[in-house]
Amino acid sequence: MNRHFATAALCASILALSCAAPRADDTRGVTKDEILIGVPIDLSGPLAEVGRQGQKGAQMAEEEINAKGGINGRKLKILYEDQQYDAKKTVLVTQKLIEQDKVFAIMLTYGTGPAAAAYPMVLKSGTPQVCPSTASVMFAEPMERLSFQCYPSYGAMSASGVKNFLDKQGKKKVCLIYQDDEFGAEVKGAMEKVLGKVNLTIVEEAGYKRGATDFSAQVARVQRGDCDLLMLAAVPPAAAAIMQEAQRRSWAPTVLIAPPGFEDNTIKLGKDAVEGAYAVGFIAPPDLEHSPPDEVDWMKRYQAKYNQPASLYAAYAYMFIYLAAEGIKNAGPDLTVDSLVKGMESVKNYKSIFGATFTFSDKSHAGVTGAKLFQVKGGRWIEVGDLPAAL
Amino acid sequence: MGAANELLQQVASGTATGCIYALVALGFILIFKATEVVNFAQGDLMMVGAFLGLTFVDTMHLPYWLGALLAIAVMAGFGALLNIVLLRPLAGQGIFAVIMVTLGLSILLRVGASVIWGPETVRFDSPFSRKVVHLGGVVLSQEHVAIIVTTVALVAALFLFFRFSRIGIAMQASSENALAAYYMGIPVKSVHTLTWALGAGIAAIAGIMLAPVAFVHVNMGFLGLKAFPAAVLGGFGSIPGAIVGGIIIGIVESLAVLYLPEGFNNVAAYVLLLLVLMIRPQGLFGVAARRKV
Amino acid sequence: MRFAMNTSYRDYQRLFPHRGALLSYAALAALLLLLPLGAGGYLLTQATFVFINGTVALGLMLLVGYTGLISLGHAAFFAVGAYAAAVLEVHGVPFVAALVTAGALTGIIGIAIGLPALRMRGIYLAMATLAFAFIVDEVIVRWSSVTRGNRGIMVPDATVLGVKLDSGTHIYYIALVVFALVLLALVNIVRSRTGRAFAAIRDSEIAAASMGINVAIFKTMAFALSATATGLAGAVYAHKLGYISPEQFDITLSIEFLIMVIIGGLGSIHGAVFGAIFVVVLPQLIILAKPFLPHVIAEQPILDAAAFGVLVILFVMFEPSGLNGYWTRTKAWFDLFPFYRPSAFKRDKIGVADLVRH
Repeated sequence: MNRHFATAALCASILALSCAAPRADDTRGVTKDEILIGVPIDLSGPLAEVGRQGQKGAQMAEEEINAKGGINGRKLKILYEDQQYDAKKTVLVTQKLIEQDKVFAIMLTYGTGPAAAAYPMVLKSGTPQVCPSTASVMFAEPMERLSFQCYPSYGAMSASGVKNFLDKQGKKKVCLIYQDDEFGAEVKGAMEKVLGKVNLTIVEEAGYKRGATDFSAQVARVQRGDCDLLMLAAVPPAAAAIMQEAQRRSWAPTVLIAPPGFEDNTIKLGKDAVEGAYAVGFIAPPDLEHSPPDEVDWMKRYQAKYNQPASLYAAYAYMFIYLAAEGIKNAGPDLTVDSLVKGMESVKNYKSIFGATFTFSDKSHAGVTGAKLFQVKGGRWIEVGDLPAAL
Repeated sequence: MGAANELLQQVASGTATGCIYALVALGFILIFKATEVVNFAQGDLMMVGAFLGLTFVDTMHLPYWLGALLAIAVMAGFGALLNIVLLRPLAGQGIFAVIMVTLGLSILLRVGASVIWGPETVRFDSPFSRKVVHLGGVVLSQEHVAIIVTTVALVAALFLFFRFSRIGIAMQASSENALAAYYMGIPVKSVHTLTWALGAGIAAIAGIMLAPVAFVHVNMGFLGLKAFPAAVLGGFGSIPGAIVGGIIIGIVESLAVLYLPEGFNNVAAYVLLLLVLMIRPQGLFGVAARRKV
Repeated sequence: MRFAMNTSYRDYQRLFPHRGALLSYAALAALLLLLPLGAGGYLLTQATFVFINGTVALGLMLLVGYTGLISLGHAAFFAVGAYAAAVLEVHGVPFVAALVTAGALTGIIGIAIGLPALRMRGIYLAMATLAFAFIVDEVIVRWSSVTRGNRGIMVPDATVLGVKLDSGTHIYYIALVVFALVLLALVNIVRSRTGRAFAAIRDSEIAAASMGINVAIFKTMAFALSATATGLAGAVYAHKLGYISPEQFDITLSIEFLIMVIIGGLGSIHGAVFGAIFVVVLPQLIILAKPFLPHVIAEQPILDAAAFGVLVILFVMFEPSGLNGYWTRTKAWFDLFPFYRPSAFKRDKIGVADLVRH
């Protein structure tokens, strides 16, 4: 009968192990010396290049803050978990961070879909979610007490951009090529709204599946509409390929690129085909020659530390960690979930070194409402205007 | 531009994309015909070939043609190695075993590429980049023309190879009936290895041709999934069928974006596949097979 | 040493070969029922996913392992079940009704696939299922009036008889119940005439037909049953995650399902469960093993995927009976001690199932 005793013993030991129940502490994730933050990030999946840059930016902020003594006497400790841009994995690692690692807050979750999948669970567990790495509007509206959205949403930014061209350049025929997923859907929806306000519609549109490589058909389709403004809700490789295709056909409408395509990689991949294109974004990509001195100094420190040039994604992560630190500081020495919420809500006109300004309140947890307009000039993104909210 | 011109334009672009599907399907069919192995990693072999080309040409600064040929040669060697290490031990196992091994290989190739070359999307220019050719009212990029020309040349070369060279005939014999070929003194195992080398080499060609158009990225092999409908459409086991099948799918997808509602282009290949399987399972050029008990 | 030999037909009919086995399984059942008392939320989530995966693995096992029909697109059935349940519940249908309807709907779709599949075999069938999966995925995205397309659906909390079941513990029990029901159904099917018909079709379709088995009906039934099980699992999954979107159900998921079945051991119910446990537990093991691996390997974040790829290949090449093969041999070692001989388990080809000992 030894096999069955072994089985019974195995069951008993599993039961015993799982009974090692944790003791409840004061505020989860906050001790006398440390604040634990959980970051579910893409380190090996489709957004890995972006995720790894973000991790570096966040690490740099963490180390700098701690070197200056931390916040109200507590040091930041950030735990990173790889979620590979997968919804199921994000739920699992976020739950692990909350229940096993007992973090105080979740930050920088990568990807709209994955972050959305984990969102109900995070809220239910009473854990604050601050600055997810996605510009989806769902983390600001409907407003949740524990959720703080630090990006202006894809939809809001796109709408601001389109309105700018409708008003300032008198564009009338607007077309759209969009990535067939949630962010593309959000951009399309926002465009329809802002165009609807002046009784216009999208003249021609074409979608492409994430990962598609040939866009000749999509470009042909929208070219039929004879548009004067072409909106691209696309990631860098697609945006670059689309503009190359347009160049091949000698078609040169005004091109406006929605946020995910607003990256240096778009220029690197598209080269001269991208020259003159516009984009809406939130902060300018860090540039050694054109950025303000604080930012340039940051770039030099980053390069020295990681032996890589600093990128936009590293800048976002660095900025958001500092923004959260500001909220934590406002919360005072008695740090709890409630005091954090109040602390974040009292952040007003917090200006980061990258040129963005954040304001939260008890009525709005969307930190940024406007956007900026950029254009590719001489092979780099140059800021050419400030855009007010359009929706 | 006029409607007829537009149609021609789309057919031309679709043909170019279709040629890439055709090349991947070609390598796939070659391997299947000879070894009865369904190689789900064919698209990923294409991806590795593209990355190798990138390394030789951009990183090591070899001249484009030398770098490309070297990449193809290395991939051919790699294909042979895969056959010896992975597929020979599997001889005799059912089709499911083979599918799972090639799926596992597909995962490993992507992981390996991500470790060696990183997860970034990279540009890989060829001498044909960003130049265009005007044919009547149709504008074709030189890259697309290069793809079509290469495909035609390759198919012609293969035709001659299989028809007139000893090795080619030996390969055909092994495909028809491995046992009989073995009795005739043909070293069937080596022929299989050679077939894998050839298949991998063709995948590398496809990758290098595709790279300037689609950029190089570890997930670029997913394109290879469309090669299966191409192969089935043409008739599994028929080489001209693979080419024709690939081109048809490329053209249908291209026209679908223009003339059909949103989303059809994504599934056009698969709808075609299902239709073919239900109406004419042996495909356009295939021969209906009967299995004995 | 125990002589658990079959000496009469009744022995073959027994569900548990002897009383010891009954005790073990009863202890396991008790453990699973009582787990939420002592386990934290994270462990419960893992267990819930094991049950969900297990339900899918059982369904897939029935199709691939027992009937020999390859499906590369099972994620589509999973998606249909998840979406059907979510959409019904968003429109107010109570949980149990939604679950049952989702399962039934998926089963009907399984029949819709099974019928044309009658004409295809081997690799053609595999490709057809692949194509079907892509088409279902696209339909879910396009039919946005019902499925909200790419924006996804926030799944409402399950309500049974007015009681809201929304905590991790509730979902754990739901998953456990669904798994247990599917397991029970499958164990019975496999031991019945139907199960034997499936196995006959797998081993030789022509021989089965010549013995009077209506191949068409049984093949279609296999698809329907497999689809239903997977659809039910999908519905539970929708509740576990709380949010579903089309991109969660892509070909990578179908491949993951196949990996479960292969590593677990094709053609056995134990295998399906082992495979499900393995797929959930492996990432944890990797995390535990990281400190012991050479730095270069441990640093790579993509270790999970690499491990699966390597393991699939190794298992297919060296251990076609999968984890179940290890389990059977270990049991036999204990049973026959000291007379165990390894050659009693000479390497089987994939697809050979032991009908008597499930």
